[in-house]
Amino acid sequence: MSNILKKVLQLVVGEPNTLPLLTMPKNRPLKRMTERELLQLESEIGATLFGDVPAGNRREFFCLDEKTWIWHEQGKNPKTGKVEGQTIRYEVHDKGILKVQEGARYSFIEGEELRNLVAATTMYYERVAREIYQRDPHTGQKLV
Amino acid sequence: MENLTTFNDQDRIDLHAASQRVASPAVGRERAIEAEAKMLAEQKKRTEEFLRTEQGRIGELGRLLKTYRQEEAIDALVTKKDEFQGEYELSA
Repeated sequence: MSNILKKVLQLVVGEPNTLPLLTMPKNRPLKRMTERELLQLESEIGATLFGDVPAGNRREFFCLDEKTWIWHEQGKNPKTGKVEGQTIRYEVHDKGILKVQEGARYSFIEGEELRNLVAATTMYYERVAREIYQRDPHTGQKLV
Repeated sequence: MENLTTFNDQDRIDLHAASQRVASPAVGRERAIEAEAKMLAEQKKRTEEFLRTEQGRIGELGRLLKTYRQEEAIDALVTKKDEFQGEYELSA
């Protein structure tokens, strides 16, 4: 589990991070899991939505709650050789989606960036609903 | 002859008593129902308008995901942990 997800989960759930790395179970029914384990599974799907992750890099993308989505990518800077990470929090507000970056940078996203986020969250929802929660994404009903 | 210019006790203005006699303005039951229905319709319209926006759509997806997650999660479902210990035990 990456540091950012650990930190976020620790903040949300408040438990120590002692869980083994989970992998997507095949041939569900899924064993009963905690919210943080489910969130981790969701994030594994979220990480695949933006194409291949370069070797040695780590990516996270997940829906923390109904008002917050987190994107994080971490990798080695080819120039400095140092591991660097970037975290972006997208907050759902009445007037738009607020993008919050490190260094107290805030902006409401628009145009192509907003369309891309809508596409990513929609794909995330459809895959997570089907693959983790076994639900029809359109009706919300359990798949048989 | 009666002196009409002099106030007596009966002429005193009792503000407290006067305020008790005046009923508060009240709308009829039908109007109250009508106003509530109008308020709910406006609220519904605002919600529908919000859901048509990008932020509304993303927010709705997040709401659904959170609902699914909470329905699936053992720590959200189980209140008497010991009672369900066997059923919900995780594999190593």
